Amino acid sequence: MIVGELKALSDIKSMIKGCRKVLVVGCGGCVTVCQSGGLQEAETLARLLALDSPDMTVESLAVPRQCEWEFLEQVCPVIGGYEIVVSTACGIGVQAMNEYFRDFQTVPALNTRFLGMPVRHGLFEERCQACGDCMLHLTGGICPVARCSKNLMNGPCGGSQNGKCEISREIDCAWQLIYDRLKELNQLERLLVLQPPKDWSQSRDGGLRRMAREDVMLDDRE
Amino acid sequence: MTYQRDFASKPPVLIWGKTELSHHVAVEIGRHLPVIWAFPGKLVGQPEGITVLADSRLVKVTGSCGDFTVQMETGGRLTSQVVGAMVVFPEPASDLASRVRSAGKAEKPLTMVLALKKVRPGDFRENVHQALALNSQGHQIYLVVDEVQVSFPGGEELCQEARQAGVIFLKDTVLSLVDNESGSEPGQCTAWNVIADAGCREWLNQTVYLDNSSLDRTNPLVIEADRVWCYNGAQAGSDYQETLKLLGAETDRQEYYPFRTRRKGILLVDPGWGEPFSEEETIACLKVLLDSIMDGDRLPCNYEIQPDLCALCLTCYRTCPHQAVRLGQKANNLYGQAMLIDQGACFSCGRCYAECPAEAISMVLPQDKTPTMVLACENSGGPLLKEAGITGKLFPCAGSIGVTDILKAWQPGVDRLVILTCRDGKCQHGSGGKRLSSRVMRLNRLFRSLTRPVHIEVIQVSAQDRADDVWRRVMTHDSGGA
Repeated sequence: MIVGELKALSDIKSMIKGCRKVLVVGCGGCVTVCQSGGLQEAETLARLLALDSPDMTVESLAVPRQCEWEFLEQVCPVIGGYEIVVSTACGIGVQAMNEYFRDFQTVPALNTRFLGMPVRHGLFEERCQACGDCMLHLTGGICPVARCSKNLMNGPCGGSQNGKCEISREIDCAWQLIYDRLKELNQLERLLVLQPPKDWSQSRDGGLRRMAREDVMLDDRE
Repeated sequence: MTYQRDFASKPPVLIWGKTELSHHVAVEIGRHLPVIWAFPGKLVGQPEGITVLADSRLVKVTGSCGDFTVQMETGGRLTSQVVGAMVVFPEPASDLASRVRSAGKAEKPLTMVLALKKVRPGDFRENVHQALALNSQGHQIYLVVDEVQVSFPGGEELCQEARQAGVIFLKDTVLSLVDNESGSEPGQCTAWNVIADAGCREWLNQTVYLDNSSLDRTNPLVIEADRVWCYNGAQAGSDYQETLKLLGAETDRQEYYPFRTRRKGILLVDPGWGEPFSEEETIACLKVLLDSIMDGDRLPCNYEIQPDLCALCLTCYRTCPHQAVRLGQKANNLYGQAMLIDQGACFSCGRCYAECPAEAISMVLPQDKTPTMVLACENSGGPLLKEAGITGKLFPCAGSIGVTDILKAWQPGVDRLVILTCRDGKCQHGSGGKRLSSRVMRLNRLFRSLTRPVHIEVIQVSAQDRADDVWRRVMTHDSGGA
């Protein structure tokens, strides 16, 4: 899922400074699951802002997914009465709102952090960097792009100490994890195969990425 | 009695245990409700009016309160029983205290190490008593414990007294033993390893190495001990933990409430918790509890998941202290399915309601709209607020007071909101107060960014507190150190 985190309240307040009518829109997708931007968090934020400025009107609602035009239609009937929208969705939701509602500014309440999973309830960890060229089959299902601090592709650097990464004792060395996992799978020989340079053109370096499924795309007449 | 009228329609109660007490309970409960008494071992004498299944072994328990299906192996044959509730008597713990007592009769003063691991408060209390008695006879006692337990009545005073008398409590300690006669190397014989398969073991004439991190020593503390006892509560009573696990009622926390487990409808008669009950008290208490379970006037489930709003985030499933939430209903949401609260297992504590990030769980309770600046857990704070004459909004547990409930309660112009919770370790739903405190901590942190900072205060109370004292703490800014 996409993991986001609430911005500092003072930052959100400064984004909506001068506005008297504010709508907080939550998202029922990833940010609900990561406890940062669902209906409960949207309502909490709205109530906090109202508590801060009693003369401000702040309401809240949530749509199932803020990144789909059809769900944004649900906001149409109410948005007219507001001056600004605060979105507790990820960066995608905020942009969708801005593209869909051209007459309103939508500002972000979250910092979108990473693609990850809850390793335990309330603790989320990054697992994927959407590099566009998945190699998990070679590394025992542990991603060196997302989990190695240096994105190394051919084994650990000298900073791997007792299974930990040199940048922090809290972070496991991805290549130690890969070694352990391949050993479990009885595939240690994979480590002897040199990986050629990765195709980074599929990652962020190739400009805006697009994925088309022509077979399911509808043309304008349909 | 209401249950006598439709005796035949009641599902039976399964009494599981081979002690004399379980026999008496089966007979007593059997006067009012249909009873199946099952136990491993042979039957001696047939009690009248109850079904007895001797030579039985529990295999599996499914279902929920009022409708459990219990699979048992009786006399080598698999059987299945449908029961409404279960009363379980674990095997009695090994009698460490009496063994220790007999050693105290030695003529010269001895140095003794008594290591207790994972013991229940009843055993803990008895052994601290014993240590205190031996100490007064001139012996030096070291009590090695995984935690200093004081949560039983008089526990605090007892441990204090033992400490002052010279009993040495050691926490977070690893023991290594060296036999003074054979002179084995330290570390080769770690006491905890030795007792992995046995509940209790005694050694004579040992050198004990105590590696104690809490004393901040670089070298282990070395004791020449005349006697060493190690007692592992997790192993005492061979089937105790296994039975609890099988029943889905195992817990690491200390159950303060007698006989109840976290699985509704399964009662555990365990004298290890709190002050021991007499046989009459045990039977009376069980009758009341079984009545409330079997009488059919169960509280309606106060919390319901609205399937169409459920985001399947699993928050309720992970945080329910009673394992009452499962995946299982069809829904018109994005996933076609939603979580479901099992009404038979739900204790209506409201934790799921407070934590649901999609606000998909509704509280089916009459909403009191009276403005108030006091929110409270009805178990601890409710009676006190009533007595003190303070208007407050009550919740079934502090854990059910969600962030939006707190913010909704806010009145314009008020800069302080008070929430009353149970004391630590006293919540009947596990850790409701702790969950609330983390929510309040986050809110208070967010409040610091407000133009006019406001504050939420959590006050821990118990029903024994004086109402006028609580009134003072609620109405003034003195939280009494809580």
